[in-house]
Amino acid sequence: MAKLSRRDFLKGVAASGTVVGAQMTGGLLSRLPVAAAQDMVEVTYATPGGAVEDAAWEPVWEAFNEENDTIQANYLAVGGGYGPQYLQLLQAQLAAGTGPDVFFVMDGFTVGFAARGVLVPIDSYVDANPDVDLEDNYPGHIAALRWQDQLWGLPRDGAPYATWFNADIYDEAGIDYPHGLTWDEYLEQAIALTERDDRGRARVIGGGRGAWIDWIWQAGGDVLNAEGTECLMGEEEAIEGLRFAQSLVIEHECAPSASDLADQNEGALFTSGRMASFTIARGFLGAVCNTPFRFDAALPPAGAVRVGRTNVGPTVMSSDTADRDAAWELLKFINSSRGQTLKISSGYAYPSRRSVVQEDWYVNFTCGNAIGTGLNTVFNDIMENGWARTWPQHPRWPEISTVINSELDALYSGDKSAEDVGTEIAAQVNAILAAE
Amino acid sequence: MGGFLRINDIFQPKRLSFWESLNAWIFVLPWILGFFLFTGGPIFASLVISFTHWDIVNPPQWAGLANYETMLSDPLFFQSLKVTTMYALVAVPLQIVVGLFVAILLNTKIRLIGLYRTLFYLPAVLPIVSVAVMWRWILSRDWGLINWFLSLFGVYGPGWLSEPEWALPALILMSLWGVGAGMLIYLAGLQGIPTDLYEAAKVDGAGPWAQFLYVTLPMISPVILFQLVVGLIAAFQVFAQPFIMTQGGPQNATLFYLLHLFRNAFEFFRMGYASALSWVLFMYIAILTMLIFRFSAAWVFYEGEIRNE
Repeated sequence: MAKLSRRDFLKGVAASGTVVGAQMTGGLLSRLPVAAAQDMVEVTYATPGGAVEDAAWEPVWEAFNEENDTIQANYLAVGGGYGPQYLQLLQAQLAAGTGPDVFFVMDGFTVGFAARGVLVPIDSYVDANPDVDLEDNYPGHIAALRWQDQLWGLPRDGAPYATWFNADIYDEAGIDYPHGLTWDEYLEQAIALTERDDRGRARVIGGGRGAWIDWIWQAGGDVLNAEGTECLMGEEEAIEGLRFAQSLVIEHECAPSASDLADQNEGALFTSGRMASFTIARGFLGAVCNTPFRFDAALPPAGAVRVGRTNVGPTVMSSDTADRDAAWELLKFINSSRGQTLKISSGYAYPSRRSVVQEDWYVNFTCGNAIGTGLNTVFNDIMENGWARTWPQHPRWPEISTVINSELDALYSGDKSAEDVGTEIAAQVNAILAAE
Repeated sequence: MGGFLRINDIFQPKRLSFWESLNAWIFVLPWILGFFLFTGGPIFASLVISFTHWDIVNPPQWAGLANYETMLSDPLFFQSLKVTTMYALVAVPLQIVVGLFVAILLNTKIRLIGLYRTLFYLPAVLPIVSVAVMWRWILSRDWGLINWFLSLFGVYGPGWLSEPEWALPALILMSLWGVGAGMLIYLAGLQGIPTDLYEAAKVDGAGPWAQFLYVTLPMISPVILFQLVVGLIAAFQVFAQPFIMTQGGPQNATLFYLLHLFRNAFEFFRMGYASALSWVLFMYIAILTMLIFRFSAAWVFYEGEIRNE
């Protein structure tokens, strides 16, 4: 009896593989005529998703599909949460040619996608559609989506940061609620509110660390120059911002230490009643509405410049989409007042459209133990007065951000001075920029 | 100096018939197909990609050895290599010692021994994400179990995960959580040692320590070798713990090699560089493994082995 040789066996494997491959390809191709036969264009929108978000989007798709006879909007919850994992999953789909037509990109990553040719610039669509009404969007949100004189998407929402405070802690300490404090006033309040035991364990922390970039902007500094060719973190203004941020944690111990944050993040410290105030976007309502203490939102502290951070919810069009016109219709609807109202009125995001903020459902919103109307007015005040900026836009922002975060560890642990941290960040980031 | 005679040198395997060969190939076919499709292909692809600049969505551009050269000027490459090597050098021997110690304790005939063995093995099957979250609390500076225990002796424990000098030791300590898996293998090895060897040792006047040193250790040395090699490979593939617990911080003190690789691949989209990193890691592990095997002849004893003196 002849022995089965290795070569014969591998031939058999190859033949089997061909058959399997043909089956798979055939299966794929057999799907295509179905859509064509229905004469309906399908466009898919992707976002991280989740139980709450999925439910908030539902009315948007229902309305869009009802109003469009020839376009069917599909919702794709990619998963991974609002972090790097979402981007990884999204990139894998785009690389495989199975990416969505329209999708959400996390703030700070839009330019990276645009630079790699993944997105379609939408200027021509906006010009041809006056009903888009760009003016109704906050200028800061639109500016964040421009790069190299082209518009790469429209916001689905925005997220300016305001100060959330625990009114019970302030009342107990007999301190006025915070509203647009100066740095000195903020520091004084935070010190007065902080209670630590002899081992440094916090019962109450006076305030959050604040977004590091806010302190730098408020001191008149910035991360990159306007051209994105040089890092400015070694400049005196940026160092002053870093110095103040460090003093809150190290010198005065009135903001969370590294050990405090190893146990709970700032949101958890606040909702568990262990932190008097901290800054974050309106989306925090989802967590704060269920707390047992009284709360409200207020204007954040300011230094030499009154400015703070705002996120944007970029909605962009894939350059691989089969039908750009249909994809544009969906993108436009998501950005529209109607689309944003449908989505946000059942959730906690902040609209990117001024007109939506004037609607009754927004103006009269209240929940849980909210004590005032700050949560309905402060975000609009921040945006209308131009007190918010978006993250710096650069194709290599993820790498730059990693360098900064690592050095901030040394800043907040007190291992390095603000001068050393600023200088080191500038050196490392400039090396990244030089390698472009 | 003598070489080794192995079983195969004495007993030549018989040639298989066609049908026997066919049956054998059919049984291994699913694995071979899976290997070529899902492992072999990506391995080969990553080698090619390591010589390119590739951002996933655009076509790769040939870069020659540029990615490998970049490593030489990447401080985080050396930092991640240092962190991972230190982890491997401390955690692997520690896991072997603790695993073996627990196995010896559980290799006795006492009541409820099955329950004890199950309890010690249980942590090894728990999902790493839940375990990491739980350990974050155990290692908490202010409210953690470890620092509470230390406080009973008047010692204020450190911020295990927030202080650069303690973060890596904390992850090494946490790695002992999974020694149950190794314990099980040691236990199997211990139970395979013929009892007459111990009886002979006792007759020769050997006490418990001498029995352990001259009977137990040599007899389970192949198991220790296996655990050493597998443990070393696993140590160089640590990812989930730092990813969940420290994100490589503070100040890159827990920037493990795979975390650095992952960031380059999926956050910076430098697939070519990440692939080059993976091949350097492969070579590094391969060299260490070869060294271990090279020197294993001095301390590993195989039961079926005949040594020519």
